[in-house]
Amino acid sequence: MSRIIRPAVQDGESIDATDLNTRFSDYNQTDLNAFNHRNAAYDLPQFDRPGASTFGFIGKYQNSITIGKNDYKHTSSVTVSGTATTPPAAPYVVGDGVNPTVMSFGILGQAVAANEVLRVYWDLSVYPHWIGSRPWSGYDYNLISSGGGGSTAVGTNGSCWGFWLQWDITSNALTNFVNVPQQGSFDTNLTGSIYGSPLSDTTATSVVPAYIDRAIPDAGIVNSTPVQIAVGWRGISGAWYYPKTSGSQTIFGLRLVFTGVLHPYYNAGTSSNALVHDTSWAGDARLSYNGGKMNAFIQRIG
Amino acid sequence: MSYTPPNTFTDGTVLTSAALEGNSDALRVYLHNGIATGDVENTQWIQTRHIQPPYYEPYTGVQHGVSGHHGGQWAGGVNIRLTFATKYTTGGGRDATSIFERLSNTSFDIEVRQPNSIILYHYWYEAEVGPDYSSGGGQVSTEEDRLVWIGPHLGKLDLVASSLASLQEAQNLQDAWNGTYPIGAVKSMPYTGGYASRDGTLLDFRPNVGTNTYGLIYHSQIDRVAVVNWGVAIEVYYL
Repeated sequence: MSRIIRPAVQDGESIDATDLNTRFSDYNQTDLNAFNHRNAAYDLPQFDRPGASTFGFIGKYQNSITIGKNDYKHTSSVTVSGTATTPPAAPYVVGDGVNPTVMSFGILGQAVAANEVLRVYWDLSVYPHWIGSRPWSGYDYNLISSGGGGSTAVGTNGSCWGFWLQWDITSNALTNFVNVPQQGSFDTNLTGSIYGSPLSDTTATSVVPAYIDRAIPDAGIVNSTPVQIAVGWRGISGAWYYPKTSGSQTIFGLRLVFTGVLHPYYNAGTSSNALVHDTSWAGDARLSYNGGKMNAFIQRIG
Repeated sequence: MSYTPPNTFTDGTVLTSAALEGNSDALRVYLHNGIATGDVENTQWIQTRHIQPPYYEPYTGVQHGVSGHHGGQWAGGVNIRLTFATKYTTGGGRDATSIFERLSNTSFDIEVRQPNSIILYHYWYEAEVGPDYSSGGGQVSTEEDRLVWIGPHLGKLDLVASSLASLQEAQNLQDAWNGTYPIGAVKSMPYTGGYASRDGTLLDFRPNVGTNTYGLIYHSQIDRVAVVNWGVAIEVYYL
């Protein structure tokens, strides 16, 4: 009985020791329940949570690291060249200029179990540019009428650098990084000497333009020389989600990698779109980068 | 443990006020902070009405529910609510400075009620960066340094240094003005990154309860940066 039902002492009534003791001992309760709690008495964070004592209610694990070279004014940057070899070389790993900046999930790793999702967010400061005089060629031109049957070659502005995520699901030695699911390395031989990845394998990819080429049309024709403009320093970002509907996947590490120069390509053999390496001017392409963040969060969704 | 009166009364003895008040004081202590697990009925009795309903803060657009905070603010389209960054409050365009200011309207004050909470602060914005071609008075003299950095911050501005790696820059690649058609910037905005679209997420872990500020900050070396469309959102999970 969680309610004390005892009439109050009335004027003129006497009270003895037993009655007085009982009026205090009434508060000795072992079944406090719904009668003893007002509406909105509890906020859910006050309840026990499943799992570990610290984590377990909705969020299960979080991690945040600085990636790249943390120097936001670009006093000193990391600079690499485009990949001009065929087949393409391994992607660059984002680092501080000396060592890769890798997110470790600890000695035992972190499991993404059924009804959980891994959410990853990253950002990075980058500066795509080039050396030489308007080096792009290959896929990178559209021919626009210059009048009189002639044409002016104007860059497609489709060239880009591609960034994506890799994980290590083997051990905390972090020596076996592979692409995350539904992500390619842009090194698949699609046809002839063309290497890249179909867009269906770019789930974790973010791209940044490699150059800007512009021309001012006049009365429907372009008869002026196109102007080249650097892309400039800019922040780029990416987000990737790994929902697990069954089973469990233990992850030991994450890292950000990139390659370039890539260009859109239609693969007639498979009737699909792709991003492929454009090696014709990649040797003159450069990408500088500084710092950014990588954030990871494992969360229950069911 | 359950409440036990410290004093027991017996017939024939003097009833003192101290003994009576002692029992009452012990009861006050028990009701304030002394109810133990064994005092509560060991069957499921809690009802929906006992759990706090979420509340909604209309000004910040944030809802606090049983598992944390969710909500956001945005500006764009017909509800356009411009916000600005400018070099005139962050060093006057001098490259040697590292002064930061808050970007108006983009902050949340969040009361974290549970220790060990995770905060995800999401942001996106589209900014018109410049055009600017000012180079006097110690300002940046080349387009390489005509930059604005906007990024997330946590807490007071003097703690911004911990978030510097999250800053994302946009550049105004301006090096002259056209005196003839097309009048204006030599390098038109759409082609030069002068219209910048950026987004990102700040992840923060809060080991203790308390009120924390999350928002956007900037350091500008460009005279005028109009943040035309923008959105910020907050997720707080009580781990």
